[in-house]
Amino acid sequence: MRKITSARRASLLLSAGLVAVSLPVFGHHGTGIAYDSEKPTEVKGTVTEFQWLNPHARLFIDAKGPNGAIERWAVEMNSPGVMIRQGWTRRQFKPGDEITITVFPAKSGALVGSCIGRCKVIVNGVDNTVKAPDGNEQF
Amino acid sequence: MRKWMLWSIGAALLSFLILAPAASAQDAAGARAGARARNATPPPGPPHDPHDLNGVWLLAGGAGNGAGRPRLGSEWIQGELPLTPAGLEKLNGNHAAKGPRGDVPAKGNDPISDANVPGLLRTLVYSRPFQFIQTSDKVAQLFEWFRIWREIWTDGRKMPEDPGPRFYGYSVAQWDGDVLDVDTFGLDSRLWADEWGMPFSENMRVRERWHRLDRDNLELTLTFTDPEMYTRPFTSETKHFRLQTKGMPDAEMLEVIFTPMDEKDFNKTIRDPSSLGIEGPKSGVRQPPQR
Repeated sequence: MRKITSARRASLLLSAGLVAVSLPVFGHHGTGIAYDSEKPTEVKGTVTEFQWLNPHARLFIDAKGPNGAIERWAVEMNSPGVMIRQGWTRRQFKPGDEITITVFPAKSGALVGSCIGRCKVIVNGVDNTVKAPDGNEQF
Repeated sequence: MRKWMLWSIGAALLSFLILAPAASAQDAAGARAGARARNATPPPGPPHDPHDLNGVWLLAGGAGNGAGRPRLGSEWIQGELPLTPAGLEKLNGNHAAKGPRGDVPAKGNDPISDANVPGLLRTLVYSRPFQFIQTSDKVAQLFEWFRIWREIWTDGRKMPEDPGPRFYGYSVAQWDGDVLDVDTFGLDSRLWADEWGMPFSENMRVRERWHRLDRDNLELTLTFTDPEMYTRPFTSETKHFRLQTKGMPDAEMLEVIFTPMDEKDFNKTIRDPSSLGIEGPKSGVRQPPQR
C-alpha cells in the first residue's frame, strides 16, 4: 500500500475542506423550512443514539434543560453520503459521548434541531466542527 | 507528486468557487449568491472529443431554497411556468417542502417522502453525481441518487408508441452535430419534475440536449412539450455539469438508497415532530414556563 505523504495528506484535506464548504448547497427534500435559521441553540448533553441512515442521519441527545429536567433532543444531520464527503463516519458519535452541539431548533417547539452543513460540534472535548481550510468554522 | 498536489488543490478551489456561493442560500443574500452560482459558466477545460460523454459528472450549483424565484416557478427555469388551468391545478396540489411555495414537510405530499424514487427529471436537476457509460448502441446513465440507471438508445430505433409509464422514461437519441439529442417519453406523471413540485402529464415529451464543451464541462438543456399542463413548449435554463475525476470527493459514487423502513423512522423521529410540534418517539416538546 502506498504511504500517504504529509504533503499529499495536506492537499487532500484542503480539497475535502473546500468541498465541504460548498456542500450545504446540497439541500435535501427534507425539512429545512421547519427550522429557525436565525436562532442557533446550544444543546449540551449525552448522546443516546446515532442513526447513520437515509434520508438524513439523526442524533439523539439527553440534555439538561433550563429547570434541570432531562430534555430529549433529536438532531437532524445531513445524508450519510454528504457526511462521508465531509469526512464524517458512522462512528462519529456513540452512546455515552458528552456532546455540545449548536443546532437550529424547530419552529414548532419540538425538541428537534438541525445540524446540516453548518453547526458547531464538540464531542468529549474534541472539536468536530466542519472547518474551512483557513480554520474558520462553518457556523 | 507536486503535480498531483497542484491538481488536487486546483480541483478543490474550482469546486469551492462553483459551489460555495450557493451554500449560504438560507437568506436572501445567500439565495442571490446561489442564483449567481447556478447561472455562472464554469471555467473551460482542455479540448475533448464532444461525442465522448463517458465520465462521472456533477451538477454545478444546487437547487437553493427558491428565494427570489416566482411562486409558480421551477428549478428548471428562471421565470414562471406557462401553466394551463389543468397544470395550475396540479401544481397547487403538489405540496413541496422546498421552493417558493414550500411548506413544512409533514404537511406536504412529496412522493419522495415515502421513499418513492425521484424519477428522471428530478434526478437530473439534483446535485448528485451520475456516470455516463457509452457503448455502440446505447448510453447508460448511472445515478448515485437511489442508485438507479437508465438507458438512452442510440442504435437508431424509433420511440415505441406507448412506452410508459416509467419512472425514468424511455429514451432514444441521435447526434446532432456535437449534441446528443435525446427524445424521452413515457414518464410516470405521479412524480414531480423538480423538488418544488413541477407537474407533468403522462403525455409530456422531453427533449434533452447534452453537449460536452471540453474535457471538464458538460451542458444540458431540456425542452418540455406537454399541452395538457403547459400552454406552449418551453426550454430550461442551461444546466452545467463538471467532470469528477479520481481523487475528487464525488468521483466515486456512493450507495444512496432511500427505503421505506428508513423513511418511516425519519418521519416519526424528525419530520413530523419538527413540522407539527408533536412529541416524537425519541424527542420531547419544550413546555412553556409555569407562571
